[in-house]
Amino acid sequence: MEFKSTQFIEGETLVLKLEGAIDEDAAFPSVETEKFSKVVLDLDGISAINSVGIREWMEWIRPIAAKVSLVFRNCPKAMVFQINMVEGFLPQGASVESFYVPYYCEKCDKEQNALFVVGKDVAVEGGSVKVNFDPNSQLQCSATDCELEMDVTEAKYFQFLTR
Amino acid sequence: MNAARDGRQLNLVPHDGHPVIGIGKGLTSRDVIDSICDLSFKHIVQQDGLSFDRELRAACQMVNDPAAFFSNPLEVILADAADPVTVLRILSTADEKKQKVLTEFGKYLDSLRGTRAIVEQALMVADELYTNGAKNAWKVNGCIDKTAPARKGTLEFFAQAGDSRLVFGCRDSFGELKMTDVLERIRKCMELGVANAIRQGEGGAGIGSYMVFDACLSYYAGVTPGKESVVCVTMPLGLNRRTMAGLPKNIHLIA
Repeated sequence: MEFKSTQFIEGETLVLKLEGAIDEDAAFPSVETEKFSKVVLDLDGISAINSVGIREWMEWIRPIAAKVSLVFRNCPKAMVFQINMVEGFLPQGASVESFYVPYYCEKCDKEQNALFVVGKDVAVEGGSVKVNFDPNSQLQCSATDCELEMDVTEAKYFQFLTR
Repeated sequence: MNAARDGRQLNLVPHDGHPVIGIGKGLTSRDVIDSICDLSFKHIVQQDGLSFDRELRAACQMVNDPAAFFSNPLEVILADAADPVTVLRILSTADEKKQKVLTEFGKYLDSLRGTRAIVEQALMVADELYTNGAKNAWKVNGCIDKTAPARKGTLEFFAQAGDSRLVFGCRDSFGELKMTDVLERIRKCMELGVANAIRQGEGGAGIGSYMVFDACLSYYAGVTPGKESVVCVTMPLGLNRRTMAGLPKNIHLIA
């Protein structure tokens, strides 16, 4: 899927909705940082990222983060993996507002992605991560005996929250 | 037992009759790369890994008959576990775009059983393997020069499923892949972290090799200089992500 970006302005906040694959063909939008105090990156539509994309991302994001408050919203798994693996992928001072966590039920053979809002569904207390999300009441499944389980290693996937 | 660079004793011994095959247990990804770079092994096969017997048999076959690997890597890796109806082969020339291969591979993954947890990572690995293959095949100073006439040659993307593993990879018809460079790039990313490797001038190819090794279960590579390079990986089928994360890695090289 081809990379594209759409901009929305909400007062002093610029919301950038990014979609598609972040790779060698991705053309990142220029951001007029002097016009905004905050930039929100809505990453819901990001389908994939490759190594060239990581390098380009790092070059694009660093100067933006140096000038405005930066927030990542709706981070898909692919972005969470990079946030954990690449120091600076989430620049210092930037924060994650929400991110997806995969849940899987072996009985139904069904995967669902839950959107965790930081501070509500997951929080850091005393240096450790506490999950407050109840998949059985908050995710939709038609099977009555469905047993949704988080399908990531918590210590690894939530690592970025404790940095 | 063999010692790592930092003096730690690794649970790693040579396989009977095949001193280049190391049989390990519980080795970390870093241990595996260090063992290949610093010791005289060309293969590390882990006893507590997935399909140990078939991984070991593939290692022995690659040592005894390397031509068999170049001729049909899928057969060497999957052996009797191969599902013949799942063979995928896509032949590309320099004019063709990566997206065509990734789209076809995405459909292929959707058609297989047990790929739910690996689809995203498999597509990322396929992207890296194809991009690196194309760079080696049609490179000009390490980059694909879109204005220069491409030299003649092909890049083949292949895949096949077995009972518990999916194999996929790329073969180019040039044989210019430098395995020592690839291994050092992976090690650099492990030692410094990806961000520092980027800062120290490591390009996409270096990070890409690390990402491929990090995501796969087994890494296979063979180079016949000036003739062909084959790089492929295995990923598990039918496992959840938590189980996958705990599996140790294997590596197999002919170079």
